[in-house]
Amino acid sequence: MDYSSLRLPVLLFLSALVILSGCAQAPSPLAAIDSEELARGRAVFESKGCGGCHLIEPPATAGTISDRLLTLGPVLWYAGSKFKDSFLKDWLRAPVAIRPMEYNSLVSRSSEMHRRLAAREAVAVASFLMSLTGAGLEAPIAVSEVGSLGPKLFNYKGACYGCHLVRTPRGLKVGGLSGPSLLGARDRLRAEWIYDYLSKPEAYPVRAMPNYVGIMTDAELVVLSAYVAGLE
Amino acid sequence: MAFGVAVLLQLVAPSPASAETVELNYRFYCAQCHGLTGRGGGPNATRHQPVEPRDFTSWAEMSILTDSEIILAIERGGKATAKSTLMPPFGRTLSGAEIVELKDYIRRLCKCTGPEAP
Repeated sequence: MDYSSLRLPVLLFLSALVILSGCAQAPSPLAAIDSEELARGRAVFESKGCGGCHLIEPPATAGTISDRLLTLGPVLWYAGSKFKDSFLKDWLRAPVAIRPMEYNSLVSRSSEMHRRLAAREAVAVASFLMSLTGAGLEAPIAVSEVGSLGPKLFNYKGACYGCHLVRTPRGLKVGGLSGPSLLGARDRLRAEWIYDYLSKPEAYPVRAMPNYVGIMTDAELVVLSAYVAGLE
Repeated sequence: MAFGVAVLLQLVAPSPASAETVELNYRFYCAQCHGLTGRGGGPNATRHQPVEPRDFTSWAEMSILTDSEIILAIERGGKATAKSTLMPPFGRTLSGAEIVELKDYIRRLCKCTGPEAP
């Protein structure tokens, strides 16, 4: 038998083995970039003093109203569960007030003076914040269509615009100022987090929003979450 | 009247929050709409809202409300007392005792009682 004809296939096979074994041992270059980005993001977060206003570790309990009134800004330990990645990167470069009122204030309007980050810093910090998924969310909620039930729940059963700014179909901004604005919610918030926030109030810090569990059915909370997540 | 209030409070689900002072509960939940002084000028009383929050300091507005109506409105929302749905239900947020305390607090703001008082 002429074994010389087998040389090339064998050589190719052995080369493939070498390459594959190398791939199995070496870390993914993408994972390395992510880890470096997270570390850089955390470093920027800490060097800018962001933790002075924003907690990134979940507290042991929901806390009391007094605890809440002592905090200086929204907690971020579930930022990665709450926000859309594209939103954070852009917002950190050009912050616009989400809350019309100063945090915890009922008399002072927001000053819109949140720190701005440079482009690279914003990307890094956004990556870091998106890694904070303290809220263990379940699979994305599936809502085939919101239909007319969404607005009914929002406008009547929940009366959500009582505390949250929204845009009417004719473009008018209406609603209350004590809660975070829902203008542009569809670009900012994840529907599954909204559902988690509404359906599991005990998992979050004490908040001034009424608890709707037991007032709305679970199916209604799903629809309401999808509706809010679609608000322009 | 007391029996009616007791019946109403049995319908309040247990609140997950530990009991806070009435002043803190009012400041945190009620003042958003009704204002820190109870005059109805909280930050949610914006120009386009369909109704204004009730002025708790108004004898004219508050003296026609029974204690049961105040408690029911807090517990089940404005709709339960044929008022605006903008008043949300706090029955799953506050305990029965906290709601009664708020009713008493609100009565102190108006320095008045309801029509059922002798």
